[in-house]
Amino acid sequence: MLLLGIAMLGLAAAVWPKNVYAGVLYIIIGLTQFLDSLIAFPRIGGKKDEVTVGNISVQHSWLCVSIGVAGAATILAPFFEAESSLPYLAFIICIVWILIGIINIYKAVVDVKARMIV
Amino acid sequence: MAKKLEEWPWRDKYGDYAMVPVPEKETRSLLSIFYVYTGVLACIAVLWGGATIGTQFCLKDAVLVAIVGSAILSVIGGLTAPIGGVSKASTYLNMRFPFGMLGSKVFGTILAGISSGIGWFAVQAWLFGIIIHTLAPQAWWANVGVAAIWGGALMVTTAAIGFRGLASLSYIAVPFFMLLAGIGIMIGVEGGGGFAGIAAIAPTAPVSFGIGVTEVVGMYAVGGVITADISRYAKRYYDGSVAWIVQLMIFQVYMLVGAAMLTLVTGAANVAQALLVGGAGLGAFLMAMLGQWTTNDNNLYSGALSFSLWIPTKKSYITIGEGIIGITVAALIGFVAGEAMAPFQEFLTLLGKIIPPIGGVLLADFYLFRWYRGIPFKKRYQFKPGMKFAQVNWVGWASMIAATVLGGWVIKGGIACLNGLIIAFVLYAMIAILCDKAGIAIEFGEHTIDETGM
Repeated sequence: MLLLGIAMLGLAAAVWPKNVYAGVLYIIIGLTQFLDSLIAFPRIGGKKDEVTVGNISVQHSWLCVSIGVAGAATILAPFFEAESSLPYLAFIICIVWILIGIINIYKAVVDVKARMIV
Repeated sequence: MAKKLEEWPWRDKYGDYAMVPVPEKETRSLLSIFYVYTGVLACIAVLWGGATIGTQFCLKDAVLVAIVGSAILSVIGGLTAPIGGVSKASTYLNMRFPFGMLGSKVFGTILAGISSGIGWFAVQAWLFGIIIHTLAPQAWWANVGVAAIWGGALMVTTAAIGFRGLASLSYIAVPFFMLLAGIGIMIGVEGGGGFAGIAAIAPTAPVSFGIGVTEVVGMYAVGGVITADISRYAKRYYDGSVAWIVQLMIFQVYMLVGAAMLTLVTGAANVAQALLVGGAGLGAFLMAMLGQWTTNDNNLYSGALSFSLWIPTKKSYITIGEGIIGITVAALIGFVAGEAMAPFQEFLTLLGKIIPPIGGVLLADFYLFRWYRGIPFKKRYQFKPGMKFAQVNWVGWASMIAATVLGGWVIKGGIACLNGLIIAFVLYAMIAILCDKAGIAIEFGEHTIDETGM
């Protein structure tokens, strides 16, 4: 997820000259996902209880899914058109985020009995 | 060492802790509470409120109006939320203390059951139909009545699940909505030629600063009074206040100003349509859908909580029944009358006049009267099986009725909903304390609750 966040920031830099607003959108999405993943490490680090780790993972995964959905719904919108394959790459990254988030939530809830609503 | 959980002596017969306090093991994090509150806030109605401000004020004044209005709402909800945080019970159960058993049923039903659960639910479902129709006027599924039915059904599902349903939807919708509001600002900035360009645009229908603040406060005053419905799930008694204040002072201001900017630039009061025209694509649809959904499931949820006071069945059944009535009303109006919802909305606005006084009485009883009687803060409003409640607390009834009349119709100046709240607060505190000093009984009748809370 961290790497995908960095990749999205890279796409933001590439798309900026073509459409500033698309660049800003990619930065917001990439940075939010990057920070969401980054903050999860210190929160989980040192925790021994699997359920606690699962609960923290669920919290971060919900944000990952939500921002992924928002990105997927808006990146290809006419306002953010960039006349290249960059928006499609960004769109795919958002879909991957959604999938990772859902799998994370599913595994945390089913495997370690974490709460879906923390 | 883990904190030892206290023994919970209740039986949750009706589900979702509608009639009993929420046990400690079921409490949720500050983030969850924040998400649910913000889910209620993140709705098209708030954006339309912002759009209205956009037609009345220039950008600088619109920001000030949004900040002042949100600050007043922060005070109201910031004070009511800890009541739920301490008692772990819904607003309508808490009302048993200042109004008695009968008062909590009567006023709880008017406050949330009829007003929010059926009335505003129907209005919002109908509004959902209107918005979807505006976005896709040619599609059969976007007919006002048809959209009200499927939109209303979606809202019933999460409300019937209960707090977990509301929270999971909010987890998805809130960050999404915030991003969409940001996109609205981008479209506004692009269309208006930058922030300086927008700041120079003059409003089309200017009004006084006070009216603007009244609009912002009135838009969400009911939400401010019933914060305990959600804050009862908070781990710490003050989490509800923190969540409430943050969502208002940051996100409400952000959304109001974003919508105002979009309206200043486009001149269109329908934000979803402005977004679609501006090029937000699928995002405009999802914004309309998720925005109405996260708000209206809360309307239904609070309504079902209040109906639980006198309908002895599972709360989820009440939610579904209430939802069916609301959807039928919304669809009928959508199919038959189209725009003729105005008289119905006026009736709901009328009901809304009693809500701030109910909040005023609750606040006076919890913060002042209980303090005057020497009850420590965390010992106030503690429910126990076998506990006795009065059937009627006449001071609560009298203060509420007098404040509704004075604040709603007699006093014309100031902010109407704040007037009602303050008058009820002052009246209740004064009369209750004076009666106590004079040895005059303020409570009549007696009812003992069992382990189901009934």
